[in-house]
Amino acid sequence: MSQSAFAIETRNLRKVFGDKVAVSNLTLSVERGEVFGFLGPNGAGKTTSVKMLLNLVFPSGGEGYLFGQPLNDPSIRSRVGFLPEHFRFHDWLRGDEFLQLHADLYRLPRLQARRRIGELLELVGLTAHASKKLREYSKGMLQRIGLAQALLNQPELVILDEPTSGLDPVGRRLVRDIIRDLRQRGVAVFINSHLLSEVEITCDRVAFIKHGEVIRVSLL
Amino acid sequence: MNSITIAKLTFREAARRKILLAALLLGMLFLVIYGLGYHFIILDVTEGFGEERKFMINQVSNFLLMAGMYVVNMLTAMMTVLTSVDTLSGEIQSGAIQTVVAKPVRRWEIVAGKWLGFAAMLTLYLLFMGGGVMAIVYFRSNYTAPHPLQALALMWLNAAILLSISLLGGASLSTLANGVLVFGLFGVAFIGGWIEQIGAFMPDPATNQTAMNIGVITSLIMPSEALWKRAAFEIQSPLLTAIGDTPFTARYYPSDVMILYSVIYLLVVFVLSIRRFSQRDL
Ligand SMILES: Nc1ncnc2c1ncn2[C@@H]1O[C@H](COP(=O)(O)OP(=O)(O)O)[C@@H](O)[C@H]1O
Ligand SMILES: [Mg+2]
Repeated sequence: MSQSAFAIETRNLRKVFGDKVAVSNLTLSVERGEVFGFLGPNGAGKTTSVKMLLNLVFPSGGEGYLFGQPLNDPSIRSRVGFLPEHFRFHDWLRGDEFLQLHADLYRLPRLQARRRIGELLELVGLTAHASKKLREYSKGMLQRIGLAQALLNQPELVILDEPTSGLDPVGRRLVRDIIRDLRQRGVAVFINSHLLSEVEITCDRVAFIKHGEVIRVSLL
Repeated sequence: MNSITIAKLTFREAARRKILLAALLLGMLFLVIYGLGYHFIILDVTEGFGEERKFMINQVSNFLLMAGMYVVNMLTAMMTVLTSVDTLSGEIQSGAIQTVVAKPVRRWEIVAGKWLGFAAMLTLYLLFMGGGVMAIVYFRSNYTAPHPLQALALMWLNAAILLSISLLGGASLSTLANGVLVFGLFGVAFIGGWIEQIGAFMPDPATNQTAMNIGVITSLIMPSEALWKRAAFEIQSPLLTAIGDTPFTARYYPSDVMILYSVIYLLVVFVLSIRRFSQRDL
C-alpha cells in the first residue's frame, strides 16, 4: 500500500492530438475518500483527462499519480474502478459473463468473484437480467452493469465519465445513491460531468474545467 | 494469466457469433464433397488400369491430396484473416477495449491473448481440415504423402503470419484498411509466386531470372506463397519431384532459409503489433 494522501495527483498534465490541444495544463489533487466533480462543457477535455489517468491515453507532458504510483504502473489499477463515457462492451456476453470477465481481469478469486457479482447485480437491480445478453440491454441497463463492473474489485477510487448521461430519473437516483454509499465507505469518486446540477448534489469539491485547463476549484 | 483470459474471450466470441459453427459446417461440406470426388476418381482409376494400378492410384492420390491441401491452405488463411481482422480495430473503435485496458492488465497481454485465441482456433481448423483430407486419402486408398506433418506445420506458419499481420494492422488501422492491407499482401505474394513459376518456363534466361527475382522479392515482402510451395513440395510424390513441375509447386522450391526467414518474420510482426498497441491512445 502506498502512503500517499492523494487518490489522484497530477502536475501540468497535457495532451495534444496533432495540433489540437485537448488538455492544456491539468494540475489537481483528489484526496482519498473524497467525491470530486470534474465539471466542464463538452469538449473541455474531461474524457481525455480521465483517459490519461487510466493509461488509455498517453500524456504529451506533465505527470500524474494514483495513490502515489505513476500512471503507467498497471498494478495501481487493481485499486481503481472505471466507467467509460460511451459504455460499449462485448455485447455478445451475458450480464453475468460480462462481470465474470472483468472479475477475471481484476484477478479476483473465483468464489469471491461469484459472491461479489451476485451482490453487485442486486445493487444495480439487474439480478433478473443476469442471463440476458448485453445486446438485449437497454441503455440504462448497460450503464448500470457498467457501474457494477467498476465496483467489482472494491476499489479505493472510482472514476465515472458522465455516469448519468442517458439515464432516466430512476437511474440517476440509483447512481447518486451508489456514490453516497461509496463516500460513506471512504472510497474516492471522480465524476466527469457537464451538468452542474449533477455534481452539486453528490460532490464534496468541484473543479471547473474549460479548454483543457482548471479554472477554479471550489468546495460545495 | 490475463492473456489466457483474453484468449478464452476470443474463443468464446467466435463461438457465440457462430463463426466456429459456420467454419466447421463449411469445412465438413468441403470434406464430404472432396471425399466423394476422390472416391469416384479412384474408382475410375482402379477399373482402368491393370499392371500399374497401384502406381497410378498413388500418383492420382498424390495429385488430389495436393489439390485438397491447396484448398485447405486457402481456407485456413481466409478464416484466420476474416476472424481476426477487426478484433483490435473494432474494439478500439467501439470503445469496448477501454474497460479492459483500464484493468490491472498490460497491453501486451491483450495482444498476446488475442493471438493465442486465434492461433488455437486456426490450429484446430487446420488439423480438422488438413487432417480430414489426409485421412480421406489414407482410408480410401491407403496412401500417405511423404511428409504430411512438415506440410501442416508450414501451412500453420503461413496462417500464423497472416494472423500477426492482421493484429498489427488492427492495432494501427481501421478494420477496412486492415482488410485491404492483409489481403493485399496475400495477393502480392500469390501473384509473385505465379510470375516466378510461369517465368521458369520461359526460354529466355534473362526473363527467367527476372521472374525469379520477382518471386524472391515478393516472398520477402510476404512469405505466404513461398510457404505453400514448400508445403506442397513436402507432400508431393518423389516422381513429381523428379519431373519438377506441377500446378502446385515450383521447379525451385523454397529453401530452409526461407522457412527460417518466415519464422523471424512472424516474430517481428508479432512484436511490432504489441509495440504498436502499447504505444497508441485508445
Ligand atoms: N483522439 C482524438 N483525436 C483528436 N482530437 C481529440 C481526440 N480525443 C479528443 N479530442 C478533442 O479533444 C477535445 C477534448 O475532448 P474530450 O476530452 O472528449 O472532452 P469532454 O470529455 O470534456 O467533452 C475535444 O475538442 C475533442 O475533439
Ligand atoms: Mg467526455
